[in-house]
Amino acid sequence: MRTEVIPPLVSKAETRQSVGRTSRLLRRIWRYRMVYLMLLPGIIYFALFRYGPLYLAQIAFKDFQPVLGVEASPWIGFQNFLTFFHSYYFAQLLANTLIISSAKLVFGIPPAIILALALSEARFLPLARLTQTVTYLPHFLSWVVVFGVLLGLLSPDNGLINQAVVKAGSQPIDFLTNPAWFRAIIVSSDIWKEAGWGAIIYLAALLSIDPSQYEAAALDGASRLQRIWYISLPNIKDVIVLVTILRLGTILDAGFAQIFVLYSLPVYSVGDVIDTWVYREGILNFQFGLATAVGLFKGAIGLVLIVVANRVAKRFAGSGLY
Amino acid sequence: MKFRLGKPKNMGDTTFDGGVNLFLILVLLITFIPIWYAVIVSLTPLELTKSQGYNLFLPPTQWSLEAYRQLLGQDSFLNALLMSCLITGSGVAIDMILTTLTAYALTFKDLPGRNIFLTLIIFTFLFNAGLIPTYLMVKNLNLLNTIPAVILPGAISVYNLLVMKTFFQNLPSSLRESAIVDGANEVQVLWHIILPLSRPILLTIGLFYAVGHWNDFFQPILYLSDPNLMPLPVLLRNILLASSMNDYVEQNALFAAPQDALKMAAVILTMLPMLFIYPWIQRYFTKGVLLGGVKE
Amino acid sequence: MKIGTTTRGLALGLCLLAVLLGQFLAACGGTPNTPSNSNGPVDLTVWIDPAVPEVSGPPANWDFYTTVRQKLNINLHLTLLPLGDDGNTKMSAAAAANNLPDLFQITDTNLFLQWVNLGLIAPVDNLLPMMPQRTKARYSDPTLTKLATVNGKIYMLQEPSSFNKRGGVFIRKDWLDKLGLPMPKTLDDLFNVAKAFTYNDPDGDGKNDTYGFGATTSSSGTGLGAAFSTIFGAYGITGGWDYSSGKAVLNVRDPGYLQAVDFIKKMSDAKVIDPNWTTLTTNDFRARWKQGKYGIFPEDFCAGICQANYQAFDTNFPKGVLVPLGPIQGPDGQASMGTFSNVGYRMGVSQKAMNAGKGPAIAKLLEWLNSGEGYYLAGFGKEGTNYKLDAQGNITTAGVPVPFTTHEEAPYIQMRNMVLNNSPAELKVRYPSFKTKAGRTIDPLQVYNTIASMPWKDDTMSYAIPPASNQADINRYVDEALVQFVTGQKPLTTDTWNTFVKGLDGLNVPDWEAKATQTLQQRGLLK
Repeated sequence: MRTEVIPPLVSKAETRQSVGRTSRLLRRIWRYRMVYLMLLPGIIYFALFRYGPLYLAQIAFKDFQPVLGVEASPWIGFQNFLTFFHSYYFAQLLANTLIISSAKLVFGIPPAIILALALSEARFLPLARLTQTVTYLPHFLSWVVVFGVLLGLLSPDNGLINQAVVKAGSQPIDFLTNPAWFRAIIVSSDIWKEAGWGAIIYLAALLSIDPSQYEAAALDGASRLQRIWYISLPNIKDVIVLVTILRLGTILDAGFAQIFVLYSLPVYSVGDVIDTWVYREGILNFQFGLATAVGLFKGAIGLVLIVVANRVAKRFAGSGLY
Repeated sequence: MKFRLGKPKNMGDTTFDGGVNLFLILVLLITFIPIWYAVIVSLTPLELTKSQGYNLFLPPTQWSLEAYRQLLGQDSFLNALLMSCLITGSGVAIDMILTTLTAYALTFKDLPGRNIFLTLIIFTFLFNAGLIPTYLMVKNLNLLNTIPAVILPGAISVYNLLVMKTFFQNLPSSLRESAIVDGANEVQVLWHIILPLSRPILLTIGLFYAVGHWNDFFQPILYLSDPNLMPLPVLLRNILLASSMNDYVEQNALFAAPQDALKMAAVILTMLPMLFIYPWIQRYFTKGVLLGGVKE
Repeated sequence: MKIGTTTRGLALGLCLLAVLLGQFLAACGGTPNTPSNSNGPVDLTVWIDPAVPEVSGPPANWDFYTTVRQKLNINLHLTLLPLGDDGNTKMSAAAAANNLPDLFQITDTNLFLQWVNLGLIAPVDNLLPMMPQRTKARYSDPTLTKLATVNGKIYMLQEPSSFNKRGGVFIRKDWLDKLGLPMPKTLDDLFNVAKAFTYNDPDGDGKNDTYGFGATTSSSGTGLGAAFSTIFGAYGITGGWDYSSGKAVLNVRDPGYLQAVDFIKKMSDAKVIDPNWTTLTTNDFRARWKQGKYGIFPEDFCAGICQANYQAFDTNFPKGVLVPLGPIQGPDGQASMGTFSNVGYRMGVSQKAMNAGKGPAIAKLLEWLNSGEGYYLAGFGKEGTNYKLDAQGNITTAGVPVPFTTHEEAPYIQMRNMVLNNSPAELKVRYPSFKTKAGRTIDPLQVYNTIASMPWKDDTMSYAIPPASNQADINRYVDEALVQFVTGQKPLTTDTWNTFVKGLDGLNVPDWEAKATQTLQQRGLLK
């Protein structure tokens, strides 16, 4: 009997190659075994406390009944989302959220960077240290307290600022209850509270820049401002890009804790945001499916924004989230 | 007088320094005055706050520590303080271990599956399951009314994780490479080389976590039922809200609502521990980094 | 560089982490739930609002717990809810996890009714006979029973509140005297007096720092809040609902409502109301009248003239006199202080607890707390230490080392609202009379009686109306528009008002009103 040699589908050379590739991959995995070990606790955390709840977040698509539990509650598809979109104030909520959030982004990041630069450039250390300690303090105050403080500053009655306004001869301004002023107060009080704290990240990055870069530039005749522009900023570019992209991803969070404390009826039209609405209608009204649905909606929008922003950042700034 | 980066070198330098200092003083004032207001209110004698509004410049002769005395004298305050320390201490420890390990592990660009992990992690940054799903998960793990329920759900902040990862990535790879050549494994590299050089970022992120835990009132309110487990912010929130609740608090002859001084004192006391830790940590920020570890 | 063997270190660290976690998991564990057919004590979880929120709860080794275990065979696990919305969120989260406590105070009726519909709450009909004295004393009002009944079963342990006409309006009598004005009786009087208080320097300090009227928005239901109820009452409007046609209709549709809003706008335009009123918290508002800024202001009677609350005002103005203002008459001679309801303390029992057979234990606890030992321990503390009984058997704090009225004792009587019964003897000790700095005697109970004798409307049945599915949006729509009208942000004309009322249709309000009518008729509350 003549033995037929059936040629294999894949040539011997190719098989050797793919086996080679697989074995290379396996070897790489083995080489990184320590790294995987380091990664393990984090993976467990994300599985338990991020993905576990996400599985349970299916109540966004259900008529959630606690007695039945999450899995057995009846499906209602996208009805919760539709309730949100069709609610009476939806358009206004969305507009307010985007406007306030964007304003906080655009007007909030530069002051933190400038403050960090000033702190890192300061030669007189006691002043720098004092300023740093004081500016990061407001971050510790709860918004309830800051509200009291703001009332003392801004009250049309006898607030400090209005006392000055009245002395200058004009009418007192009702900052907190006038729709024309409210958003400005939200953004500027947020900057006041968070700029010092936000500067810490940039400061840490600035302080890690190798001093020899500065010395070299100084020898080349660069002025202080030029050194900032050509050395400091590019070196913390990655951090700035990272922070911006991350904040874009959460642009639909306009700062619930702050707005909840500072807003009041006369300024709902400019200050009511998605989260305050969800709090009243979803959480306080036991509509958790609705609340979860809005959360997922916000995530979806944020995802789109981050992906787009990441691409743009990679193209123009050379680095992104990854 | 301590100067960094040597003495000013020329006129341009001096004006620049002057500008920087002026700016810092301005920022100092803008930030400080409202806080000063809170301190003043907390130090006014309890009698005085009832009679008039506050002015900024209360003469020291009228200071009184009465509010602080009333607060600190309560057993409940000290117990709450203890719980806050416990939660913050263990919280920061767990958070930092998890975050640092994960962040470093993700700096290896050719780790098989790295991009998948990163995507999954960033996905959770955007898609937060929300209040009830997380609560249900905690219940299913039988953690209700325990301390881990307050710490674990938020143990890793994706924001902090990515910041730390970026920082690690910016360290020169030659450091690691030379250690590997010398025979170290990845863990030893992390422990002996990377971490000591990362003091600024470790302390920063640690501080971020610490503040988050220290000020958190919502997680304890949600997950804890035993009154003895309640940390400081919960007590503080009750003090601040107590007199505003018309419907729920029985207005009777016995207890006057907490006055403003008490409230402000509670706020200041909550802030103080952070205030003490920070200067100590700040020393590490100003030290130079990368002292001669690399020869180019 | 020396490199040690830290791989082991890492493994050790991870083990430590696991041990730490494990310890936490094991220690201070969750609430146990022993079935009641064992002979061991029954575990009961009880969640209530604290009587004194600004101090903490009782310590873990509180001897009350021991007493309860010994006398009633119950392990009591008490949780004090955080105030306001936080407490409701905490309860809602527990409800969502089907993990409601065994016995709890009902702090939000709407939420509670939703839970009833979801099957999370147990009917309590079978508990009532198990605690006969308590039921006779607290659960026998027919209207309240109707209120507590849903689909033929009783779900709430609903106590009456006889002490419920507390919100009065106070006026600075010393200012009236100084300006030589009589007590205002009609709306026009009110307006003129408010103007005089604002512009004629009634406190004689030469400064323009007073307002005729002070107010703050309240947060529940629709409308401008309880602050202006007297003014609405003068136009025949009381509460949020009008039942005169045999159907439930929102009061905003009544032409009297527009007139009342117009009057308030007149006051706001004349600047006789504190312009901050829409942003003031209750606390700020109270600080202001104590600082002598307001001539007329609405206030809970005790928040106004009980000793602890009056002290601040007394210190600042020893010659100041606060008097409750009588009902203001409107153009048609109508007057009302607003609405009251008989709804008092209310508790619910979770279905889970009933299924676990804890009903009898709950009834036993509640009966014990109703009178006698339990009543005194939970409401006032220990005899001899925190209170004494005088010859007539009334409670006094004379000569005891740690009176129950002090902050020291407060953590131990957080449960008092569960046991208090508003009897006259009790009220006397809770609201004692006292002398002011100027030597005047103030008797808070007398002030209360004065206010209570004014015309009020019984609005108990409005409690039975289920909320609309978009209740939050409806509340906002109405509240926002009212504030805009009153402050002048939006012009107030018959046309703009009609547009506003018409806009209610866009929020499905007619459906809600129809549903309200139906519910009330079904439960026999509306004929």
